[in-house]
Amino acid sequence: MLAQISTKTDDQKPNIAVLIADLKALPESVWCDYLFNRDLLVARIGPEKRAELIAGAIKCGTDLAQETARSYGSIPASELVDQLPLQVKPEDSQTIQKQVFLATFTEPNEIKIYQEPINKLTALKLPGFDRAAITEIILAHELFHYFESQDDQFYSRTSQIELWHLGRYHHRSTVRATSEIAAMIFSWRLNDLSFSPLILDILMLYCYNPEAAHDCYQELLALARSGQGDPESDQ
Amino acid sequence: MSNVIIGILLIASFVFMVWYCMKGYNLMVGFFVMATIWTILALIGNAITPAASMDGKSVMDVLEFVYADGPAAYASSILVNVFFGAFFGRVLMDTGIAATLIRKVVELGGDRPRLTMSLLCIVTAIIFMSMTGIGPVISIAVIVLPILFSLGVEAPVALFAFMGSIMAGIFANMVNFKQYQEMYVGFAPAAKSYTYNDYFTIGMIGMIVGLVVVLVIANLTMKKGKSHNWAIDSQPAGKENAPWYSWISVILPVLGVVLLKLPIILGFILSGIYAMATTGKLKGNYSEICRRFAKLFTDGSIDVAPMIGFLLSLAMFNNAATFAAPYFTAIIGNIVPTTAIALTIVFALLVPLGFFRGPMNWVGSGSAIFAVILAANPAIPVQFMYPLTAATTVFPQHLDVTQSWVAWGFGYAKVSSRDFMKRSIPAGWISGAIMCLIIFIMYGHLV
Repeated sequence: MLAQISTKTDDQKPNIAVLIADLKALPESVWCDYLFNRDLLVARIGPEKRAELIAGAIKCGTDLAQETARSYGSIPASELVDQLPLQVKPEDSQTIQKQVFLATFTEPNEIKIYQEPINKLTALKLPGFDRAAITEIILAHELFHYFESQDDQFYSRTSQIELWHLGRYHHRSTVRATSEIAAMIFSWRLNDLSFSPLILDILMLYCYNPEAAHDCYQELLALARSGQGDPESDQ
Repeated sequence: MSNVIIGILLIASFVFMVWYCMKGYNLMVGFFVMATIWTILALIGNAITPAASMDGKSVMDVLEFVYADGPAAYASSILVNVFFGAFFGRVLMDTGIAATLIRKVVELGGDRPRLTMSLLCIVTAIIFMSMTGIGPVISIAVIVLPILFSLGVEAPVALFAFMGSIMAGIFANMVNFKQYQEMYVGFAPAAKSYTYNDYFTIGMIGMIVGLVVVLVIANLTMKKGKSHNWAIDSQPAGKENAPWYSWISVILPVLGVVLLKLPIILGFILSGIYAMATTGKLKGNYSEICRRFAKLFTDGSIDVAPMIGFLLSLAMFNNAATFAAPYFTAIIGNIVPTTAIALTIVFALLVPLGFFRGPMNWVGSGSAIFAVILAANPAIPVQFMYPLTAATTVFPQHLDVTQSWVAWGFGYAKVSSRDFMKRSIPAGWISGAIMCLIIFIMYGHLV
């Protein structure tokens, strides 16, 4: 898998086609690590717990995708949303410097999809990334958070780490990356994609801040090269 | 009669200033214009009926007092503190101490938005007991706000909670204390002996009150359900932490002043050296270290540069207010309260007039009104009166749309001023009113 990835140095900025080809070649484990490295609690989680949480999140997303397919049949996320008590609201944008917001799910049932980044990405006219395809990927991701909010036995809600304790009080917390990884996997499986839905992260960022997108791209390639994102390296 | 007419014109110009502030026009120029208008009106009034405030002064003396003595006195007594406070702010940022504290707080709270937001607000308030200037505010904001967003806190709540915690910290901030105290001394010279140490207890209480009010309002106005943002963050979570023994640097200037009675500037310098020494920033040869210090001071000065011009024109306005005071007295002199309970009630009710650089705000057009109040209460104890004026200044001002970093926050977090003010005006008013009550309970008996 790694052999397929471009071996450019940091100084060489790829064109968008090469960037997409490289990103599509990245394995699931690299994207999981990419998400985990952004978690606010990453410094408090050791390698073993990290591997356990990632594996559990992958299983959680996969299981839900299979169950959803069984329950609702093979229908796109947009149709699934129509069958559920969800409100989908298009919003303009919520872009803050190096943070680009694609969508927000707020309990109990509100999904906001930010149009500005989608408009910018569709304007690039990239094959496979038209408005409908992008929307399906985003909706499926947010659908996971909806299903997650309905069931407190979801792995992403039950798996916790202990942050500190005082006497008998143990302060535990869920790890947000677990939920995000499971949502990514759910969208990946539900849409039957051959690449990670998180490619949208880099592409959207590219539309606003090519430098920052390039940094993320390099970070992903470095993860792939280092083997941190290689499933075998966790074993 | 002429005094009343001049007084009405002064009030009209003040109403114009409120409109000017609300429109978001440049405050430095605005206060220079106001200083000029008030000086001209006071000179006209004096020409018709000689005023005691201009007794023995020629027109040139008046102009010198407003345009030269005002900024000069302000620069010598206050701006030096501002510069060194800004230098210290830069030290906390460049050593990574502030960022480390924030990360540690997040690790303490975990994925619980309300708890982590509250902890972040507490640490932000503590940081801003010492730090000052828009640069440090932005430097902390770009760490704290994305964390709050990623926890699913909506932008208006996150911005309000963050700015509110800065407001709370500033109630106990040494540089701000000196700034307002110096203005107070301008109208009541006997208050010169009132120090930060005397103010410290009420300052800390004010910080806690402000924090509690902000957190209650932020929590009440937060959406009940959990939120998940699919947000693309180009930065992985930081891992480089400053060592634990460097963290105390954040409150070292305050401890130095309160416990060791150090001069404020020396407190900032020694604390800055400690922060740099404990984070390895004093490594290298003498020239390199000097360059580092010079850069930190330069960067700090740049951070506060936008407000320097404003503060200097404000100093002109404050001195002009000295001459305007008799005309305000002609209108409101007879209704100025003189008992502790009446002053407390009036100040508590009028806290909102501290917004938009209003007449209850030292860094607005409050100098003239405070001058009238102090003239009507010449023997009022500073321990009671100064904190009252601080309450109507600090709480509204640091949640106000005319505050530079609040205005910056609107653009950064894409929050409308309306969404912000729905929370900020009640928060400023409630905090100020509670503090007025506490000040009455603690110091009202001195009056």
